[in-house]
Amino acid sequence: MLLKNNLIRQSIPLQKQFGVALLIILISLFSRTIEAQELFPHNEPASNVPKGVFGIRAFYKTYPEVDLMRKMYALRVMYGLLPRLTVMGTISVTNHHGKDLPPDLVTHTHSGNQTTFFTNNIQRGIKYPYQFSGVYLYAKYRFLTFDRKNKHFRMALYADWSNVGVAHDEAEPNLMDDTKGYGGGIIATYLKNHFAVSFTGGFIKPKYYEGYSPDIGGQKVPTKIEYGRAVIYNLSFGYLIYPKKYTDYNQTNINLYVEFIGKSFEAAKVTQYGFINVPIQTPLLEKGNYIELHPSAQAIFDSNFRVDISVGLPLIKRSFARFYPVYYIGIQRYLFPNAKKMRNRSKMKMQKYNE
Amino acid sequence: MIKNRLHIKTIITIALVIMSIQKGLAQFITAEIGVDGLTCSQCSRSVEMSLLKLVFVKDVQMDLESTIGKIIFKADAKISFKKIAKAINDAGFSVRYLKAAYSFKNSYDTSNFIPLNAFGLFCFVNTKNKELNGEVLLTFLGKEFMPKQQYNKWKIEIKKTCGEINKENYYVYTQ
Repeated sequence: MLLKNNLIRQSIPLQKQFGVALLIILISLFSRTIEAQELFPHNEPASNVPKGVFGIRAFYKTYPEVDLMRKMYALRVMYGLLPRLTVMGTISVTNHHGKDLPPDLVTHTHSGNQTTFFTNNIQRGIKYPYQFSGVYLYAKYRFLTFDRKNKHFRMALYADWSNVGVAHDEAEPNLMDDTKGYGGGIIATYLKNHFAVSFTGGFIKPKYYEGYSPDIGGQKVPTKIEYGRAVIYNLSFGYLIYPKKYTDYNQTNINLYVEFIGKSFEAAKVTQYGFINVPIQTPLLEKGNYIELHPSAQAIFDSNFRVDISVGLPLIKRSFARFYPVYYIGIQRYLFPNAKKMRNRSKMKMQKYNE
Repeated sequence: MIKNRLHIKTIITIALVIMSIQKGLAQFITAEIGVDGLTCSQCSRSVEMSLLKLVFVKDVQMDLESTIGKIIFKADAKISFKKIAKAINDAGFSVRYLKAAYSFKNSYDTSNFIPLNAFGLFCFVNTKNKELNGEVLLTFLGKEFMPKQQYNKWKIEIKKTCGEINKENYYVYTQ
């Protein structure tokens, strides 16, 4: 337990310093009106996928856990159902969880009439096989559009749902990666002179997990975990560093982003033998909150093929559902229904002409 | 006799050429559209792809720096300017302005609704009793062709000149 807690809390001050330094650099950059983009790797902007256009994103997340790497491979399909409505479906495969909950997840001691529940067998660095996690669905509706030349302010509502029901043993809910349930929220994106900032505020209402946790004797004990409800608060900034001036669609665009991902969640409730055990004396199952920092670099080739690379670090407190740093690589492209017509045309250049 | 025939043939050919030129000119050939809300080349590409879906569009040239697109129409095509505006909205953006040049071969009295090579009739706002001849630049008025506040200012003017607003028609002004 001590070792685990030390492991969890290591190097936070250093990363916090790094985060603050990065924030200062960003603010100073933005104050000079650096060009920015809203194609954030982690957060969705209030803008949509064009109507009738499909998008495909393949992404990979990994982080070191003790002496092995936890990995997630995911595939996302997005579609512009209406000009203001985008829908997405994501499937993923991970080695994050075992078939069952960790053995001896909850135990107890008696002292007179008092029973104290606690977890004394937190498992880290255990090798698990890859499992199909499930399906995650997301829909976003842009309800406010204020467009002007080279700027916009837009707001959208989103709803998401997941049937990912893996043996997740932390209080924090994660709809795409770990828990079943649904969520929703609001997105506000502002863009001016190529400067982009976006805020996402939302909630997660996770569904419980029912499975087994083997006891000391190896007997499978029916166990139910009700994860904590959560509030999320994310803030994203981005700017374009290349090109300085657009000349044609073949130019490779390089964007830099900094995203703050925050979450606050309730404690989990674990039920075994009809007892609802609250609170469980471990930070993993207790209520918590954190803000992570995700600096990213993005390259867009031919104005369509997108490559995102990012590193996630804890800025304020931390998530107990993962270790740091979290590395992310994503590739994405849109499939335009009339791409053939486009290809048949001679190599087109964006031409400036007089009004 | 042969000379005369040749002469007549030449006259007929010239007349036909002139007529075809006139026919060619009396239509919308290009339009210019200002697009609001976009800054990235991926967004500009989406706008272009959306416009290229339209059957009457031959080519589109987007200038991302000024967010202005030049639309080239297919010859003798019937144009729907409302579909152009819809294509911009479908791509996720808004129309700042839409202008199109039309070469009038005859002179027109703008006190009437005029049919041009587009779906719907054209009513000229602020140009009453003015004669249209030669190449004229038409700026489209409508909630789909300009920011909302700007349209609200024009609304009274449109009603004053053209009567009740009919969705099927186009309201334009000339500079």
